[in-house]
Amino acid sequence: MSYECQLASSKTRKRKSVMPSYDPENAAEIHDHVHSHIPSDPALRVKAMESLLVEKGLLTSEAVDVWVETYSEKVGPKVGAGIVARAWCDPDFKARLLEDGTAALKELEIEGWFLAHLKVVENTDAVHNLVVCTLCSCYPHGVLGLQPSWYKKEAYRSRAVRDPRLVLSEFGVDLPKDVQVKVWDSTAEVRYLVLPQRPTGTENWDEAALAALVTRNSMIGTDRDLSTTTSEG
Amino acid sequence: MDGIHDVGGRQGFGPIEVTDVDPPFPTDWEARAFGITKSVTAVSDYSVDKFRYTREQLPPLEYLTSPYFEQWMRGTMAMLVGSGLVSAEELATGCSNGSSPQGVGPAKTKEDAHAAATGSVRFDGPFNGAPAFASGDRVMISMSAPRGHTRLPQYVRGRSGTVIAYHGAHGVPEDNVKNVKTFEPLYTVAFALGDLFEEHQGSSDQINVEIWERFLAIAE
Repeated sequence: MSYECQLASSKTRKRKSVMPSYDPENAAEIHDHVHSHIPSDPALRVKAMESLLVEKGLLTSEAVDVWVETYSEKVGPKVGAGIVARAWCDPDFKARLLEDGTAALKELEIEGWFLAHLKVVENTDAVHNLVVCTLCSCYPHGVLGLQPSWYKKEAYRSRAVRDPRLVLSEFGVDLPKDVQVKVWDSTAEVRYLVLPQRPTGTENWDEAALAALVTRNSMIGTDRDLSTTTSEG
Repeated sequence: MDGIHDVGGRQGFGPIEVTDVDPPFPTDWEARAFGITKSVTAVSDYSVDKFRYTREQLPPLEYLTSPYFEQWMRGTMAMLVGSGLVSAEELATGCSNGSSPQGVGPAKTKEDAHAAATGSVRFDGPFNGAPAFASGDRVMISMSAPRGHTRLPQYVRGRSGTVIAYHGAHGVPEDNVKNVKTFEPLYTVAFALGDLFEEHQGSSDQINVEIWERFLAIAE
């Protein structure tokens, strides 16, 4: 569906050439003002916005396509799973990954959205790591793709820092008392990736087969014991 | 701002809707809203901090109930209208009133978008001085609730924890939203779960939070 716009008067109104700027201090008022105008159907809102911004010279639909395709097809939990499998197979790489996640990823030529300050935290027999963002929904996008729906919702964000063990049990992870939970609340631009434990009985597996065992949730910390029977990724 | 977004430790949100695999975008319009927000030409002083602060000021009911990428779209709309690049009336119809935005860069090309989608932006910067705290220091978190945007969550204010990592000097969100570029030491502070929430006293579990130096003092 395209928008039929009446040709606006050809006299382009020129604003004074001051650098436009944005002050979010009164965003609540701006939200109310915008809300009183825009269509209630979000699909219509987005169509109207895209067509307007293209017409205004502020957007190309091709650039939008690139972001959508990148995060639909190329960047997702498989990137993270590959990193985990590499760390399991190469102890030197694992040491560098835990020391400086961003630098180690560059060895694999992996860069991306919110990967400039990546911290990888390792699960052990004694420690289980869990990642959350209580203030919004910060996530290591470049290695895990877009957040699952629950990661963005208030139930997870509020409870992960208050009742982490109950949260884990809702995901089917029942931790023994002697395993310490470490929760990482992403309040700045440091991003966290959990390095899950390698399942036993996989000593002779190659990297690709190992990567297929790594679940998205295990890299957020809401999954722990990876199964060796669900492979073929 | 002690807004609706600061939910750490709050109660009453109910069970988690657990999923193991999710589509990146539930609907097409959410995919477009994501791509538009990531690639629209913004004013030069726009930043992730301003984007977050804008989203935090959505009407609370909308913040809690509307789809995530609709909230992104509303943030982008507020930025565009608030900086005078488009009007609310234009957003309503999708039709330009004929004015053209001045003083902003050109629309991003396919190549620009590809570079942005596969590159990493750093958030640390220059800092002349030494960090005031070191790993192992016991620190007390400020009680102050900064006006405006802040990344200091309520649930750690006035509590004591232990510095466990120093990340260099990172841009300070509280200043950045006011167009003041400051870089200040950023630490990870570890809290015993029982020091944050009394019902967990004695637990060995730990909550780790990134906190800028201005909010820390040596604990007595």
